[in-house]
Amino acid sequence: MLEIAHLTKSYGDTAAVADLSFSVAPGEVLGLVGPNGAGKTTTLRSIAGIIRPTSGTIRINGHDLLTDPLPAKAALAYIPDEPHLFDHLTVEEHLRFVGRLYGVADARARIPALLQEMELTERRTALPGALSRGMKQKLGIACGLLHDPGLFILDEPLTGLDPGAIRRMKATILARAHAGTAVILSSHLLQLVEELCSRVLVIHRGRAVAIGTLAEISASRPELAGRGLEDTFLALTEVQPS
Amino acid sequence: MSARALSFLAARSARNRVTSVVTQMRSPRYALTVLAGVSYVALVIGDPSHWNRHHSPFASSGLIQTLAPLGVALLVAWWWIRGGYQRAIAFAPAEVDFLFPAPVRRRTLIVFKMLRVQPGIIFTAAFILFVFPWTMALWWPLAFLSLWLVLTALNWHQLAASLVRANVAEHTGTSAAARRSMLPLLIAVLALAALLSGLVPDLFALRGATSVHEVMTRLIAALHRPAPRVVLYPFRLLLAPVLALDVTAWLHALPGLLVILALHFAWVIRSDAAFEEAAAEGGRKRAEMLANRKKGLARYRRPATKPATRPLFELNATGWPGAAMLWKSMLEFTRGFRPRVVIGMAAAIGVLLVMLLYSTHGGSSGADTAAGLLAGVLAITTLMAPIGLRNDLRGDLRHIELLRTFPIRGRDLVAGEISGATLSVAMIQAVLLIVALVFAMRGSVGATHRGLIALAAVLGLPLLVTITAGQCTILNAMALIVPAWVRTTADVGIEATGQRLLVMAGSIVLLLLALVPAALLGGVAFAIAAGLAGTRIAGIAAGVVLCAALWGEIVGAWFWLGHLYDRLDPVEVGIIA
Repeated sequence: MLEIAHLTKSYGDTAAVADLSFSVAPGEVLGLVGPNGAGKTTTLRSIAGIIRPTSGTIRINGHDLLTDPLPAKAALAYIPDEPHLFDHLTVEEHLRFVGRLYGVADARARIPALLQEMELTERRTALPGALSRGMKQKLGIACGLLHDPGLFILDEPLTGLDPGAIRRMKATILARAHAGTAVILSSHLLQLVEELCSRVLVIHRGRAVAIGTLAEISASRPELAGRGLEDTFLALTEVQPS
Repeated sequence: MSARALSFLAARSARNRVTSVVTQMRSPRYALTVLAGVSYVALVIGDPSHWNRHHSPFASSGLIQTLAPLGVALLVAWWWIRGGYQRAIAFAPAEVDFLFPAPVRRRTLIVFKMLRVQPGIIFTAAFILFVFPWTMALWWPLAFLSLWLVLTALNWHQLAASLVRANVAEHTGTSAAARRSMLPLLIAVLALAALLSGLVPDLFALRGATSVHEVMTRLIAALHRPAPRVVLYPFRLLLAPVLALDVTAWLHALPGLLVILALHFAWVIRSDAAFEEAAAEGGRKRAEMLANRKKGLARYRRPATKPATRPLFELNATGWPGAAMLWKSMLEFTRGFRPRVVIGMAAAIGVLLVMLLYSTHGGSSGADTAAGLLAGVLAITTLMAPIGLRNDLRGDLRHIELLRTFPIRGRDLVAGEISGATLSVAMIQAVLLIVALVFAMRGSVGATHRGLIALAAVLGLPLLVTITAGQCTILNAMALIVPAWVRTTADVGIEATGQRLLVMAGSIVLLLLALVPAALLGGVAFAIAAGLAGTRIAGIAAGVVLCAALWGEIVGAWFWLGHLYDRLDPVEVGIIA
C-alpha cells in the first residue's frame, strides 16, 4: 500500500529526514516513534502530500505521490494531532464537504453510521466552536474514514480523548487494519504503539535506526533482548556520551 | 514584596516587547511595513490643515459640548446594565495562573490592573487626538493631557462597575454585601430612567422637524431641561477640560476632573469584591478572541457556537471538487456575517441618507442624492469588501495541513475558493445596486436617462462581479506568493497598519494594471460597434468584451496560482512550523 524509497527532506543545510526507506502492507499497523525533532512529523507530512520531499519517492496504492498525486491522495487519510476544522461548517457538513472532495457517491448513506461510530450523532448539527477537543478529534477521524482510505495516517490520535473514547478509538484502528487498511500511527505513547502496532519504525535525527517487530529489533541488537519497547526506544535514541 | 514582583513583570514584559519589535525590524518585510505605517502617520501629522483646530467650527459650535456628555452617559449606562463586566476586569490566562494562587492581596492585583492598562489608555488618547483633532479647540498637549485623564477616569469607572457586578454575581440573595453592591447599580438605573423620561417627550416632537438643523436645535433644547441637566452634570464636569475652548476655561475645569479621578481611585481600591472568577473567565474569553484574531479570519469574534443556518444550496456528493470549496466559502460568509455589522452599516447608510434627504427637503433631487450616495457605497464596497472578507485561501491557509491532503488539483481549489469569495461580495453588490437603481429611477436621472439606467441594470452587476473576481484573485495571489503577510494581517500596531496599506494599495494598482488590456479591448469593441449599431449597443458590446477579457486574465491567473499552490512548501514559507 505504501512504499517509500530514499525519502529525504532538507531545509537549507539541515536534513529533517535523510534517506528513509520503508513500506507498509495492507492490514499492517506501523508504529512511528522517535524523540522530539526526530523527523516524524516531516515524514508524515511528506507521505500526506503536505510538503514535497527534497528527493526520494513515495508510492501510495501504486501511484507516485509526486507525479500522480490525485489518485495517491484519494487513497490516504491523514489525521494530524491538532484537528483542523472549518469554523462555519457543522459536524455533518464537514463530512459532506469531504465526501464531495473525495467523490464519495454514497456519502449521504454512510455518514449516519460514521457519526454513530464516532458518537457524534447527537452533535451532527453543531459547529466546531461548540465541540470539545475530543469531539473535534473524533470528527477529524470520521472525515478521514469517510472515503475508506487504503492508507490511514494518524499523528497522536488519542490526544484529548477520554478513557472510553480511547478504547473505542483503538478498536476502530484495529478494525480498519483487519479490514485491510494500512495504518501508520505516530505516538509518544509507547504502550499504545506496543499494543496496536505490528511493526515499529524508530527514527532518530531524521534517519531510521530500527524497523521491524519488537522481536526482530531485539534480535538485531542482542543487548536489547527481552526488553520492552520503552527500554528499546531509549537505548536506540539516547545520545551516547562521547 | 508582591508589588515589586508585579513591577518586574510589567517592566520586563514591556522591555521584551520592544526588543522583539526591534529584532523584527531586521526583516526587510517587517521593516517595509513599519516604514509604510510611519510614513502614513507622518503624512497625516505633517499636514498643517489636520492640526488647524483653532478655527474648527465644530469644536466651538456648542454641539459637541452638549452631545458628548450624553454619549458618555449612555456608554456608562451600558457598562452598568448590559456591558460585559468580565472583560473589564479580565486578567491574562498567565496572570490568572501565576498571580491568583500567589500570596498577593486583591488590592495589589487591582492596582496592578489599573496601571497595566495605562499604555493602552495613552495610545487611545493619542489616537483620538490624531483622528478627531477638529473636535477639540485646545492646544494639543493640554488636549492630550485632558483626554488621558478622562479616559483614565472612565476606565476606573468601568472597573468599579465591573467589580460591583462581579460582587452581585458572587453574593446573590439578601446578604449585606449583595445589598451594598446593589446600591450603585440602582443609582445607575434610576439616573438612566430620569434621563430618558426627560428626553423621550421631546424626542417624539422631533418628528415634525423639517431639517437636520432643526432636529439638532430641538435635541439640544431637550438636553437643557432640568432632569437631563442634573443627570448629565457629572459627565459635563468630567468632559469640561477636554471640551474647553481656551486655557482659562481649561484651568477652571481641571479641578472638577481631578476630584472625579480621585473619587474613582478610592472607590476602586476600597472594593472588596471577589473578582477572581469573573477576571479569569474574562481573561479566557479575551485570550480566545485574540487567538481567533491571530488565525486571521475572525478578528474579535468568539468561535461560532449558535445553531447553524441552512446552506444557500445543497452540495451534491459528486461533481467538480472545486464546488466543495465554493460551498464552504459561501457558508463561511453567510454564517460569519454578524447581523450587528449589517445593521450597523445599514443604519450608518440610513442616517446619512436621512440627513441628505432632510437637507434637500425630499423630491427628485433627494432621490438623486440617495442614488449617488449608494453608488459611492457600492464603489467602496467593490474595492474594500474583498480586502475585508477573507473567506478564501487567505483564511484557509491556516488549514493547509488539511487542504493539501485532499485529492483536488490546485487550480480547482483556487477557483473554488476565489469564486466563493467573489459570490459573497456579489450578494452585497446586488443589493446595493438594486437599491441605487430604484432611487435613480425616482430621480431626475431616471426621468431623462432611462437608457443609461437600463444599461447599468444589465451590465452593472456582471462588471462589478468581474472586478471583484479580479481583486480577489490578486489578493489570493499575494497570499500564495507572500503567505507570511497574510498571517499577520490581523495583528495590530503600526507595522500591521503599514502592511494593510501596502496590501490595499498593491491590490488596487495590480487591479488597475489588469484592467488596462481589458479596457483597451472594450474600447476597440465600442469603436467598431458604434459605427455599426449606435452608441447604446456599442456600450453593451464594450462592457461584454471588457468582462470577457478580464475573465480571460482571471482564469489564466487561477491556473498559474493552482500551479503555485501545488508547489508551495508550507513549512519553508512559514505557514506551518
